[in-house]
Amino acid sequence: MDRSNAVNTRLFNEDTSRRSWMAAAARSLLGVSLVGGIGPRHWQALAQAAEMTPPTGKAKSVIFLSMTGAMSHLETLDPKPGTSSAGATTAIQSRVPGVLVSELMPKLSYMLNGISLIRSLTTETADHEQGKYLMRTSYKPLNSIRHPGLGAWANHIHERANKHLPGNVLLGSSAGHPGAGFLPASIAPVPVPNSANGLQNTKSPPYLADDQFKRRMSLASQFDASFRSKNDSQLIDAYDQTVREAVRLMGSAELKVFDINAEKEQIRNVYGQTQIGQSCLLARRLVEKGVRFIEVEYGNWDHHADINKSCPKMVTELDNALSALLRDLSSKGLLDEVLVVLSTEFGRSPSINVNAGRDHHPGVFSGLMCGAGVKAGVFGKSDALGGSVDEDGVSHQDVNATIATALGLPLDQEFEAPNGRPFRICDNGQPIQAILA
Amino acid sequence: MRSCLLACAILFAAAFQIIFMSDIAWAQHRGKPKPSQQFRGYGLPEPVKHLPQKLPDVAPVEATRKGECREAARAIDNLVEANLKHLSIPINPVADDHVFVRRLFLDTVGTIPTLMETNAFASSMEIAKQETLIDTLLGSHGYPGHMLNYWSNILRILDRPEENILAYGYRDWVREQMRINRPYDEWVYEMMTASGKVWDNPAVGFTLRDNGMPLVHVDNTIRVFLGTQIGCAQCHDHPFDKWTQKDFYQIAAYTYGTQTKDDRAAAIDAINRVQTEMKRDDPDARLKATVEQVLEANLFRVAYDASSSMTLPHDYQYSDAAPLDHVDAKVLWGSVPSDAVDQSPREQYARWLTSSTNELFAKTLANRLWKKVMGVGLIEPSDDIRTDSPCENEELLQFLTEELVRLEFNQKEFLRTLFYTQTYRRESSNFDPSTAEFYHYPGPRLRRMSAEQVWDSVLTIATYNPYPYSLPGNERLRKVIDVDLATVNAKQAEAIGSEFDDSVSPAARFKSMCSAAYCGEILARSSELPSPLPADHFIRQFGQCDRETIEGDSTEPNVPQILTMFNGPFTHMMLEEGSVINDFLKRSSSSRDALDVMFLSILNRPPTSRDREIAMAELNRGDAAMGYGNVVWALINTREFLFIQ
Repeated sequence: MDRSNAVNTRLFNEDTSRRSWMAAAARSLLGVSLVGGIGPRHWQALAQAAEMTPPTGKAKSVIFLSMTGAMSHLETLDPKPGTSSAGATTAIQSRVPGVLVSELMPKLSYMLNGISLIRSLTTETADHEQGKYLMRTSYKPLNSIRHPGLGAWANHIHERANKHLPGNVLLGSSAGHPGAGFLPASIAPVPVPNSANGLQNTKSPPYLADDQFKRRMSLASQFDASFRSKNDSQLIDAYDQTVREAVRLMGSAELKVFDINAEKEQIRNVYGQTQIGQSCLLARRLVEKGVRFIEVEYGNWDHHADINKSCPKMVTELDNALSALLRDLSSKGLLDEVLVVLSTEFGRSPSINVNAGRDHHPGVFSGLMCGAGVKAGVFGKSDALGGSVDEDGVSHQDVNATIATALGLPLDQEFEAPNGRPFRICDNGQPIQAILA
Repeated sequence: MRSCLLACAILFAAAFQIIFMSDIAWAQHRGKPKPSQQFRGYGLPEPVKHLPQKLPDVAPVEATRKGECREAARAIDNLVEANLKHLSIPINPVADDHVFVRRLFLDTVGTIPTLMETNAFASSMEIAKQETLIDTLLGSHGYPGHMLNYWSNILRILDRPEENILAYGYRDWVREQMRINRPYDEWVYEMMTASGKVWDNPAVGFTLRDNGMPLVHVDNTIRVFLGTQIGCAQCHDHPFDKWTQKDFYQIAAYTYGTQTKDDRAAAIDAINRVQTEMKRDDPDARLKATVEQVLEANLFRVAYDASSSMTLPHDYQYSDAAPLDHVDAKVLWGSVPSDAVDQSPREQYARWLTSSTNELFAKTLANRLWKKVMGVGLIEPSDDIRTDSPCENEELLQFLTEELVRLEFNQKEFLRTLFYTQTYRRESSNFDPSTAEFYHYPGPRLRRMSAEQVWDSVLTIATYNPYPYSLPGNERLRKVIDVDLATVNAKQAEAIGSEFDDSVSPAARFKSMCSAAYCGEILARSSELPSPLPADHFIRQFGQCDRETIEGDSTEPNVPQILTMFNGPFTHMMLEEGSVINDFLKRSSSSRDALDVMFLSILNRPPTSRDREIAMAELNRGDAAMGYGNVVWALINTREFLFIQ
């Protein structure tokens, strides 16, 4: 359970080119003082600075599957058959000799030889809100500041690969997503709560002549002038930026990417006509178009009661959706540049409670990564009962640092938040060098 | 000039027709229902087009307490002003009537005022017109729904916390507590101690909300009502606060014997018995899924067994006790009121928590309601109040806490006092919490409307009746589905199942709501819509809490909410035949009047001279109806519309 040792043994062997890039970038970026808020001008300056050759991350895009509500590792990626922790879950031999996964994941089990399975995730909180926040931002929630999610960081450092589409998309809708945090609202994830419906209300009614919309916008801004002259707030600015994003999207030639009805019924069925299935399919459509960061939410895994009643269906849906996504990305040649990650806020307890469920368990849990050249295999180990870390503990910060490295984000650089405090992209997270190519 | 304007008005109807004819194409494009042939739009649903029939009376403010409220309001102002003076921060000027009336409506009844309400207030010459309006609104029918929304976010109220827990009656019950203005300590106590099935005693919905998670429920309860977070201590001693794991188990021991569900075997037996009986008559007979659902729903019953013994977890790691040791109940601070010591542990716990001598109970609500009215809590976050939490104005919070106790937890009189302050009457200021500084209340804080306020305001502009349907209440639910699982037979079960389908099932409820459907949206107040709403509903886009996280609501922008305001059916709705604003537009005698109608209905202020010039230029472009459509669209797409000044 001694995590610090585990982390220290694999302290990163940063290559010198990356170090020197970062030093240059830091000099350049820190020249831009962010004190007093990050206005559009600062943002531009940062974007220009980022045009220097970034460290070579192999991932052009990331699909981050967040299993909200805390997915049981014991029912999915780290079953413990024959122990008191097993519950009713049966394990099967995967394609990797000696590695067992849940019987309900036959498809992923077959693909496991291409996946980096992480069985030693561990975190400090067993509270859903705090746990999800930590998973997404690498920081614990503070009252005075909201930290950016990793998707916002990715879009803050890198230019959009596709100028016509948002670079940050959330396929889901959970309350309390940190979004862009203290970074500009223009890079906050665009939420699509129902992937099967795609993005709604993207077109003006056809009876409006082309110039009408512009006129309407101009009227609105003129009527707003007296309010604006009296009131000034970051939230109003955030609205302005978001309005610009919405207008840009409405005019986008690429809007049809959000319509998964364009996919053959057969393809949709392979992913599964489920929330997670359709979201994975939409995520694939988005990475094809160069969207930088897509989070797919899937829940609720909070199986405090009757875990055998509700959990198996979700595991099966996940198995279908994720296996279809990986296979599809691979067949389209995209898996070299897309990193797929699966994680959850914390795990579930080895013991079954009086309500036939499992309670919150931050001690150890599982996740996986695949694509963008990450090495396949099993990283880290939980103990015999799946209760704590046995080898190579990995924190949410470490997972984020691994993703950030793959994306070529500067881990060591400090960014100043509006309150004057310095923050790094993944706090003190260290990339898992063993699985990075 | 005048005749030209009249002509404009006459042109209205004809030009609207043209707009809406092309809507047919739009409807087809979007897969929305086609309007009928003779109709010029989609048509507003009939029930929203007429003023509501009699709505239930709402407890009025107490006339005799006006003087007390004024006095307390003055005391509050003195504390705020002394603090501002000390800090050399100037006090904001008094807000004008239009800003005030809009703000007050939103803060009391959850919507902007109508054109008539705006004008009535602005033109009133009464000296104490603010107080009169405050009193009226706190006793009007918008108040319970607005407060229900407020508490729904805090209590995470869901219609069905689980598929077979039919807790609609719980939400109705909370709304009812707001309607009758039941003292806060009383309704909280009742929820915490209620037993029975939800249709017999809807207050059990509070316990059923966290069915199967008794320890999480304790954590939530303490957090919501005492502003204290002990959740970490469920697994280990709290790292930053004083709570130990033992403290957690000791407080949880009071409610340990609370059961939320009967033994499932009872339902399985009943289902098997009914099925066997059915198959005797017809071997191919199958039990409908809804019958099973109804039988399962009867399992959820809150019951308390005081003899259950709480033990420490098996992995308890501290030296003051051993794993699996028995835990005696003990409160976190203070003591159980002496007149409650003979009651059951569950009741003792509720008495301790809701007692006026438990300072944090009153303080948490005082801080919460201050935040609701002024926009920022004196202590933030309002559900994490520690002994060392920085407080903007200790003396003020102390005064508010004592005032709430003096008012015997009368939420309405307390709110009335806050609304009576000069502080509330001033112009708002922006406050950015990321500065990590305090807000000192030179006036209320500038806020974006809550998601529910945006929706309800949009409805106010268009509909006469935002309460267009009535759903079956708890009584009806009980009559239909309450059943004795030990004796139910096949005939009864089938009868119950079909009546359930026809009258009280989720599908039947939804069908009733659809009487108010317009372009796929149900035009009813947010407090009358299902909880939770689908994630892509307008109200959720604007940040309504999913009712999973405590106060998980947000006022942040996102692209879909902007797209909905741009391109959703709401501008249309406002220009439909029989909409409130359209009726006023039709009655207006000139474009000048029409402009007043549009500005006063949407932004609750008259147009400035500059606004008039801009709008007239738009209207004079030739196509008058299109021009009006554009102005209405532009007004609801301003920041000014979304923000509460």
